[in-house]
Amino acid sequence: MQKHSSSAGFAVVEFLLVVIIIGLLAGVTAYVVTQKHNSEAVLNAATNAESTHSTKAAQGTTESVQSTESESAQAEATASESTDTATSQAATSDQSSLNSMGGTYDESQL
Amino acid sequence: MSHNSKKKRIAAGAILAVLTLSASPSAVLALQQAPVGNAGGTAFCTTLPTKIDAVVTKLAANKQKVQTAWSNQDTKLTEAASATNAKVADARTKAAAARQKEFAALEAKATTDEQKQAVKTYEAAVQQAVTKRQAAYDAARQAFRDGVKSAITTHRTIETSQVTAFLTSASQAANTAKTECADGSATAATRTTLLQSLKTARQTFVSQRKDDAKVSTQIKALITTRNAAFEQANADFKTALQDAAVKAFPEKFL
Repeated sequence: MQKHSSSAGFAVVEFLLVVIIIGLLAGVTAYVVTQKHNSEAVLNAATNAESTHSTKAAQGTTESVQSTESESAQAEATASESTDTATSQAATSDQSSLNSMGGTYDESQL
Repeated sequence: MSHNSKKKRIAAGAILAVLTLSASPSAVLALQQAPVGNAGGTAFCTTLPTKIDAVVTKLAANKQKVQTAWSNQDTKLTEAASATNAKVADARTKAAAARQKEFAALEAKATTDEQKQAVKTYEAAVQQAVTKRQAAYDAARQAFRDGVKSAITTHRTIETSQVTAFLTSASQAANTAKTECADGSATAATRTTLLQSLKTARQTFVSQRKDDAKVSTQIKALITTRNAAFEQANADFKTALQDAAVKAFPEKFL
């Protein structure tokens, strides 16, 4: 009876060890996969940046001037449009107070 | 049987009396013009000053809220314009720095006096084109802001008229009822007239508000117009730069 109890306890310990080992393996695998994914992402971004740079005309040509000025014009247009939403919201910001005037009173309560 | 017949006659008589009374305009008028004391009007006149003053006060307070909203609106629009100006200035500073780098690289490639002069000519043409593009952008932005301001001013004029009409109608109705209560000429019709006048004033205002052209739609149209002006300026700019390159470097050494 006592021997049987000892054997059962050992099985539990074995089971826990197996679970822990599997958990560790899973954790290490997930970490490695994540790191690999991140590395590839960084590498891709660097490659893309290099590709963009290489396709852009070399500095000091009329093409590069055209390209740079085009980017500058786009940047200014974007800056000009950056507050459009705020302007639209401001332009209609008085509507709630005006609309609430219509509910100033309930004549049936007089 | 005789008892039932008597009941039927009484019921028929009562119905006839009610129908006659209802169909008679003079009878209705008599009810409406019944002395206030007999039609609950006394209580109405007793509580009217307090209640109607509260309504008028609330109307005035809400009008003030509209004025405050307009003031806040002006502030927000000014802030948006300032934020845009700052971003545009920053963009132009960066653009000028990038342009100078390009110019320096161009100058480094020019070896002969003729090439150096050609580069200078090209740079001057580019700078002129940039100035022209920026002026077009400035004009487009200013036109947009003027359009927004105009749309808002127009709306405020309409809204002011609506609010004033609403307050005037409500106040006139209130004063009429108060006067009638004060001089003892109030009847049940006084209350009916007051309620109807207040209802009409309120519903008219609400209806006008719904029928108003939407400022947001006008703003969207102004944005579209401004962006189209940007696009046109960009197209003109691109053509100007290409012309500058062809004129300055006919031999295309750069």
